[in-house]
Amino acid sequence: MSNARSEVTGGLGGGHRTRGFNPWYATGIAFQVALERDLDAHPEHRGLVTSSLTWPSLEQPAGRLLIYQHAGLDVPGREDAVPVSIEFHESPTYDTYRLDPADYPRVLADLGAASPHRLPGDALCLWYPRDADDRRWTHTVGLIALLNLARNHLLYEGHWRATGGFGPPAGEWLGDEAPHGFPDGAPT
Amino acid sequence: MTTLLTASADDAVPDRPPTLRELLELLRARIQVTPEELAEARRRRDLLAAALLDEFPGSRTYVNGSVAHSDALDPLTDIDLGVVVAEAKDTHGPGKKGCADLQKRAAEAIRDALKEEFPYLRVEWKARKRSILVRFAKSISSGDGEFTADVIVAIEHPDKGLYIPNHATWSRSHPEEHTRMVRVANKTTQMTFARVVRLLKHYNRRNQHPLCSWNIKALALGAITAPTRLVVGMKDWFDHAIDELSEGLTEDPAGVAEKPIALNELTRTQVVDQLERDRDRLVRAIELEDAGYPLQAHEQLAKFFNDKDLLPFPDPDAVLAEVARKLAADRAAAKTAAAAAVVPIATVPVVGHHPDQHAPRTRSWGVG
Repeated sequence: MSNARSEVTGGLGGGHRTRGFNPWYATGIAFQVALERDLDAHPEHRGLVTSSLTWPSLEQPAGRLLIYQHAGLDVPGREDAVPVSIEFHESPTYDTYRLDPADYPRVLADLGAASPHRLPGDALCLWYPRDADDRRWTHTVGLIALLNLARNHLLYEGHWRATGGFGPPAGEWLGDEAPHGFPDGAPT
Repeated sequence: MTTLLTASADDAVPDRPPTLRELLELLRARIQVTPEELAEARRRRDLLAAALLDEFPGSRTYVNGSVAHSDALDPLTDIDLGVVVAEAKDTHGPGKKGCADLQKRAAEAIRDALKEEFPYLRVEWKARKRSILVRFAKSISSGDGEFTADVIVAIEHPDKGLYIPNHATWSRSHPEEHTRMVRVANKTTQMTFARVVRLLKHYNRRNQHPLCSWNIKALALGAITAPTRLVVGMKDWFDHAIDELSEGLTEDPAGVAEKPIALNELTRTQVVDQLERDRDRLVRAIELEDAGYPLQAHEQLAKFFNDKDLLPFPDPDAVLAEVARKLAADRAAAKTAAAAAVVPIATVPVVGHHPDQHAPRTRSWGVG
């Protein structure tokens, strides 16, 4: 990982060690280069993003986990910078709605805040899984774009809460929205 | 937040958000030492100087530091003074005697001369790198803070500048030239230099002290050379500081010191990263104000200084409303640009002010 400071944590010992050397999208150099490109080009992010690779453990038995942690994103209307965590799972325990896990990380910030657009586990719900590639984030677009999506989303949430929240009348959402759920009840 | 500008109940309060200029003037006034504090600090400095000249007849004293340079911050906690010991010119220096006996004499002279007025005075000189530390144990203001003096016992260098203590030995410096250079800069810039430096020192102390005060001023000597708006002077300083520190540490502007000015805790790379990040924030504030978004400009400036007490944030709901207005304008501009194929169609502007960045035009969603 070239642009984010990294560390490796966790692990269950020798029995699982060989698993760490199996190919996995998040440890592939192509994935990391695509994801981290331009990270150093933006002073606002430079030096503030760290990554950590967690091995399977009793708490996280389902596989390896790569986490990018931004120390604090500048969001308008917020006095303090907002920490953001982005998790790439080897074997996601959450629903990826048939998307590649590389393109459907969990993005966590402001845990517990009221919002009309959160996923189970309180991850930000940043895009509709059935939309075409150019209306979703994919890892080839890079972390900067994902951080900007999160920044916009956090601002939209703040504005929505300030203008009424769940209401009535409900608050105003400044971004584009897709109807919740799937028209036919299940992802295709 | 027009109340920020209210000096008294009788003052007219403008019915508009404050400008960056007004906010910086307000902050400058709030961090400036009072004339009473300055007068008392100078009185104590004069007491020290008199004690030193009594002990070392025929010597001269010099002043240095924030009070001498007119950039002291409130609360004023220390003052700097030096004595160039005439009698030591031929006996002390590199390859001759060290500084210990002169420091001991100076410390005792200060103690004897000031003990009556300051019975709890403490004078420390052993195991210190350069200065004799004088602890008055009596604040110069109404607060409880301690007031100290850093006293340097120096000797003349045969060519240029002085030798000052470096533990038991000596190193070169030119504090008198430093003070002369800063005073010339203050005069040439009609005090913009001192005002910008004061704001930068406050920024520095509120943001992990990446630089020492002298490094800020040494860099300012190359950046602030004419009267200018405070915010422009600050931006010019950041541009210059980033350029210089990207190349290396800051050299002594008097051209005397053997080593460049050292950084505090952070590495040079970390300092440059921080300065670039904060310079961008300052530029965002300027550009937001120019574009007609005063609340977001104010917010960026408040984040820049990181001092909610002295520079409070604007009302967050009012900021959000302004952000929504700007986002609508940015979206309209992006639509025009997309029509002209300047930006990809499926992107949206980033909230705040990041004109060089975009986000994918996604739709927020939810499971149920």
